[in-house]
Amino acid sequence: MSEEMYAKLTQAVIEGEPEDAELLAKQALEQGLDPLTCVNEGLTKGIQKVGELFASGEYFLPELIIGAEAMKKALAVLEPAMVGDQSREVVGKVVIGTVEGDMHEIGKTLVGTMLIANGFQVYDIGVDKSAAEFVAAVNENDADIVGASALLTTTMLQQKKLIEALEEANLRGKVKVMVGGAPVTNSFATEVGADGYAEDAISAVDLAFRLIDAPA
Amino acid sequence: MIFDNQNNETIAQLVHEKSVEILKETGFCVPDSQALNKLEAAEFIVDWDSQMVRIPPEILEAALSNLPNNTKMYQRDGISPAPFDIRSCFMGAGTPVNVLDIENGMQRPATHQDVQKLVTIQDALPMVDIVRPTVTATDQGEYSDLIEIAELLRFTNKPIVHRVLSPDRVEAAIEMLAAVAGSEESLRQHPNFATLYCPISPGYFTPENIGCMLRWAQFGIPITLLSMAMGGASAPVTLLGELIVINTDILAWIVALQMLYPGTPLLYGSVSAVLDMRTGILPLGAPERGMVNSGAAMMGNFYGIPSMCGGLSSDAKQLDAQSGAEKVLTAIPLLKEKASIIYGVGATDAGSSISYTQMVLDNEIIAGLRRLLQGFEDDNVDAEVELIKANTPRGNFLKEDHTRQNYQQHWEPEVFSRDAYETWLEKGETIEDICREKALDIISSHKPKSLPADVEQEIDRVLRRYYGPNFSLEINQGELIKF
Repeated sequence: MSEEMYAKLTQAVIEGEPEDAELLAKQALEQGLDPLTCVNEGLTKGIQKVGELFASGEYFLPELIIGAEAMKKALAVLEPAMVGDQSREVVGKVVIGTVEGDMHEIGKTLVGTMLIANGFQVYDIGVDKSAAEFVAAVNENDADIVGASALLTTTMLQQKKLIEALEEANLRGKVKVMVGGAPVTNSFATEVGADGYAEDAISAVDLAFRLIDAPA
Repeated sequence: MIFDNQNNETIAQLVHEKSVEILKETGFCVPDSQALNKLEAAEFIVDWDSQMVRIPPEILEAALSNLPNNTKMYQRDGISPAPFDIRSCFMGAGTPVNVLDIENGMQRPATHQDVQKLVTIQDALPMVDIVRPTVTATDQGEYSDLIEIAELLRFTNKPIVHRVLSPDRVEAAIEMLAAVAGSEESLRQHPNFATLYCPISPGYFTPENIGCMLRWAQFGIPITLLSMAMGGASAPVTLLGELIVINTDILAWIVALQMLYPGTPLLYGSVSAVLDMRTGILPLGAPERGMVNSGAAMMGNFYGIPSMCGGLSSDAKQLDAQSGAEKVLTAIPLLKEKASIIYGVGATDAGSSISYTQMVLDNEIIAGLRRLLQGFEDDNVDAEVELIKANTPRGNFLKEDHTRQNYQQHWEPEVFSRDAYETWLEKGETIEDICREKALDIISSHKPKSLPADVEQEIDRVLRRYYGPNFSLEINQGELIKF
């Protein structure tokens, strides 16, 4: 019975069915299944398979994104039901957002989803966020990595301001900074003192693994 | 082009009707209370909480029925306009922060000096009709947009296109433009300048961009509403769905600007593309790039507004077979759909870099494409038949006067090699070498028509407000300022 439910959760993620995944998560709880086991035996296996299919070229971004959406929907049901010190095993915790003065959403969200699909806990704080808001989110969530996106030549300097703000808050030693966005380059990232730059969402995942020194 | 087997007018009408429906039912976001006030006064339906503005169809129709047919871009000397009403004009791309170095081809941050050189090259290349700074002068900080406009004014007589990124710099730009034109009135009558602003699709312009557009409109400067939709990300993944987003974003502001500043000259722009679903990047050398923007050219023609369309673009990282093929692939649909302005000269690496050598190659490609458009001429067929009869059998047309009179209609390349194999081998030059030499030669020898000394001084005077009392473009060496 429980095995069957785990397999259904896995399948809902692989097939990219967010509504089914949410419904299955609710049913699992109603049946008294352990939420953490549902995550580990169901959702995680699903998203790993999605990752494999993407890596082998069978899946493209739309399948990957909707698989991650299915996982997020089910997690939103299962995580609040976890008891005691139960918590999902995550590779690392990432605060991600678009810098102040910049309203561009899609690239940042794509990177966040890719990180979720690869086992990271992602706190997406949204667009047009000040350095102070990034710092607060890093503090609040005890983040390992902060990812800052800038799509405009006029807003990319905000990435430098963020790094300065992290230094002032004495957080720079414990949090790694990755930057990205259309006008950003590797040399710019070095110039502003970031720990890394990724030019697309796939290399952002590799970078995140490198930054926290975990095997991808 | 997209609709080769279909009736363009039917498709354009469909896209228009769907945009009217979206603007009536959903509307567009105007995050600027001053603009909202004005739009509400002009009988647009404003929801102040969401900052969404809906357009009643009768307002929309009223604006469209009064659309001015007055968008022209003149040479700096005010004499002749760019002929985009007769044929597609080609324009420099831009404006990324990177350039591929002319010597080693490697990507590096672009500088003030790059702007000067790239404008000079565009001034010299005969196939470039309209000039852009093509890169951002990253060594000139926050106000680099003003320096870029100043250098466009100084280094070319051709029509120019650029923008400022903050509404409070529009007046400074106008001062420089008016100094060159002679007065604000002559600038308004014969503008050598058009500006451009991009929405964040769907349905949103930033407050800064709205502020800039409304100020330019007060001075009668042509404004390009330049969609940068990403199919599959900021618009539907299908081409028709994406075109409806492009059109809706542009139509909203065509109507808004006409109701607020009647008679504002407009351009219908799109530098849209379709997301690559493997990497999430926006490839600009893709066939879909030319296709979707040819839809924009079609819609510009539908509304009777000149179009500015992204094409002649590439994802290649250097001048190579890919860059050549993609440039042609993305230009042809725009030529076929009679885009007024094709936006792309010099760009490579998905628009992330400008390349000196590519700019020279693009001139060559455009020249070839223009020959392609000429087709067969049939005005001398009787003489040709007589010639054939006289030379049949086994005649030699090379000795005929008819040949001497007519051979120059065929295209002669300046860059592409037609050498015999041994000659080619002996020269040992790649096409990149040839393009680099030509670019270097233009930089060292081409002297753009200069401005009168008092106009130069007036431009410096404006820039000193931003760059300090000792600033002068003449002596600004453009040393790389650290970010």
